[in-house]
Amino acid sequence: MLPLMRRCLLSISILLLTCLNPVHAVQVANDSVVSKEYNLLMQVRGHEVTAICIMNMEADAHIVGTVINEFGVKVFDFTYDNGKAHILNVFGPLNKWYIRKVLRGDFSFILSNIGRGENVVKKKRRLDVMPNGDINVCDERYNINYLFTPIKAENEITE
Amino acid sequence: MKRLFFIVLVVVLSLHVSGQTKLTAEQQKQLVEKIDKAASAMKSMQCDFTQTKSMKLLKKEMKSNGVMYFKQADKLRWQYTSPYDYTFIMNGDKVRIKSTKSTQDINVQGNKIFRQITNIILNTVTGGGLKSASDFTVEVYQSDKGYFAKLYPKKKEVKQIYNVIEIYFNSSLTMVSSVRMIEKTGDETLVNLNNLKANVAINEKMFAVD
Repeated sequence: MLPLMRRCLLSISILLLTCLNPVHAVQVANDSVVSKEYNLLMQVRGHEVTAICIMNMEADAHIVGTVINEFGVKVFDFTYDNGKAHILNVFGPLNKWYIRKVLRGDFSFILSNIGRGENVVKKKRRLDVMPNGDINVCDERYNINYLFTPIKAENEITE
Repeated sequence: MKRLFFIVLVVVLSLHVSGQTKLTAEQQKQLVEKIDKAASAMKSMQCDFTQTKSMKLLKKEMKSNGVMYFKQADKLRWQYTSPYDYTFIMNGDKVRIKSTKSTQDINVQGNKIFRQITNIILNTVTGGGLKSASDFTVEVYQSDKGYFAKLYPKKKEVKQIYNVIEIYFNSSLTMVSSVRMIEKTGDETLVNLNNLKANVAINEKMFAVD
């Protein structure tokens, strides 16, 4: 009786391990992200705002990021999927529909092209990769300029 | 009897887990006066700081370091040295912000939100904010690590950003040792002040905004 029970438990253990292992492998693959940090200088109609932009770029091109000021106060969060950016948790005084709309359009353009490493022009938006590694994005329609300066070298993080 | 035992157990466990006791109104009043007296006596201060920003959406932390100089009544230099260069200088109503790519001069009087933020920085750094009853609802607690105050913002501009600001004091209640700011989104910023030196000579040039 006892050997039979032992064999049965062993079979269940092997079955569980077989079922769980592929799931674990997928999780590890999905958790592999490239984290990038930039100093961000925004120029809006003559006014300048500096911030820090941090983004996690996943293997499936899904991006999750945040823009905070240097003191750590969140300005807004963003996600990017299938060519579209979503703007979330906007800092109270900036949380207006027209600001979210402009940011959504600009960040959709920025996030779909920032990893290309080449200059891109599309409608009234332009992305230039500077010789020093900075990325300059210009929204000519609303006269907004975004300058992304990498804070440190890209690093692979497996969380 | 069983129910009573269960309730007592839950209360004891929750006290043990939180490890903090709220002071009575009278105790709080005495403590705030002591801290305020120490803040008023501090003519100048300098220290290093480490700032840890915990980002809920990204499930990660960002650490930055810098130095801070303060001189009564309203002179402050808050300078990040790594991983980015950013200097915030306040001298009365004038503020200068210097980053690698830009320098801006701002008159705080004309900017309500900025005025609130600079007030928060000054008051949290010195501990002087505990008495400004119009800005925050203050609760003081004692924990295993010492005393700390929870500041719940009252003003609309600050409420839009923070849920609560926690100020931790050193054991002699003469200086702030760390500040924890919890945002509405759940993100947190913890600033630890290290190597604090009080009443030291600080060159006026550190606060130059002209």
